[in-house]
Amino acid sequence: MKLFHLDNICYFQNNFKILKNINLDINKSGLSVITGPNGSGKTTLLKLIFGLIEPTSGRLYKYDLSYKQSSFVFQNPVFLNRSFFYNIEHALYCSGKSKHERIIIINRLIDEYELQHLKDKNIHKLSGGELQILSLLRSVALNPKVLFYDEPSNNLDRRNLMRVSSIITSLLSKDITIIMVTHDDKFIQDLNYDYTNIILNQGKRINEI
Amino acid sequence: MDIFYEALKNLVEFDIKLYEIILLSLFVSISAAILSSIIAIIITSFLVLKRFVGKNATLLIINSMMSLPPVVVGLILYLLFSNTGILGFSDMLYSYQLMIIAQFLIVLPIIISLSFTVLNNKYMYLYDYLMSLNTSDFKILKTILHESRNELLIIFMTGLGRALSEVGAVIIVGGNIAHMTRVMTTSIVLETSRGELATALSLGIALILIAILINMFIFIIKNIYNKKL
Repeated sequence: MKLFHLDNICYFQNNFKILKNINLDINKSGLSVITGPNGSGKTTLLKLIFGLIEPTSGRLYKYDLSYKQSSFVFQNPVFLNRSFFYNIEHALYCSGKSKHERIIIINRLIDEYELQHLKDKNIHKLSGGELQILSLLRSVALNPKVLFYDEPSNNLDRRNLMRVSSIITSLLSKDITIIMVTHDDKFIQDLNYDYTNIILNQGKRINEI
Repeated sequence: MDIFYEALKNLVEFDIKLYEIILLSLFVSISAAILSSIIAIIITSFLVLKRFVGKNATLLIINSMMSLPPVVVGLILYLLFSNTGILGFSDMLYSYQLMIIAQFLIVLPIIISLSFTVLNNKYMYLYDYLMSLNTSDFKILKTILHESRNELLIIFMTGLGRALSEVGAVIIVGGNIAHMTRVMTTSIVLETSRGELATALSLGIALILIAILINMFIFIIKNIYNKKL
């Protein structure tokens, strides 16, 4: 079942063509991976499919999906100057969850991924890897149908990389669609999961079917 | 040195005349700073969150008004509220209410301009994250105000400091009337011209002490709050 259809999408920034005539279908469930060299437009394409930016030309069709049913994990996430717990709570507050619901969701996530030791830590006391985990959990807490993930293996040591892999695998097993940008082939291979590869080069899709 | 001792004596002995002036000063300036902070936050929030034609021109005008001379503000208010002015019927000239309005007008562009920089930077920093949550403007505003609370407190203090130290406008619209509109700065001007240097110095010391006390208070509040995070 189709979730997104991109029809001849182009994206310009300051008269510079970042994406050129992209045609693409993304199906429900499973993993789609956008790969390509630096500056090939991977993150721009991810943001465009999510809806953070509008295409300059072409059309993006979304099927059976409201905006609230997707969430985005950024390559360089920003955080509020509060605790690990509060940062997740804030995302849930913005999505309209009640205080009671927020506490239940966060405690369940923290228990599920065994992160009790991070719960009350201020973000300034978290390592780069722990911040990446927080960024992922903040998006997962929103219970998305589609998760957009920009460079999941960025700045991660081996332990946190395994943690992120296990969270991704658990999301995929829950039938959540993941659209991911990465240049880390090994990370994808280690996930050991069938995926659709979308290869970009200089703003063009080079494995168009 | 005698003047300095006499000035301290006036303060320590709780000279009623002196404290009446200090309290009125605090009341007028704190009222003006609170009022302009509330209005400034509303205007700044709109400027940060909304795109509209003439936004840059609006900011340019507000920034220019930061350097508005207080005596000009006082003069304009005087013309408006004097008996022959269009607002003369309100009978507000030489009242503390008009002094609050004068200080409000002087402080408002300063608070808008400074808080716009702070809130806009915070908004830009959190922009992608907040947009990805597809949340309401109210929740976005609440987030950026909360995240900028320390900087906004300092801006409030800057506004209060500006109001407390202002003399040009309040002397014109207040008239420096004893027991009615005499505040610290106008009183310092008067006492200096009369040669009552000890009284003038007492008020000067009080002004500095108030600034230190308010800053200490804000510092303590900030620390208590940050420890809770």
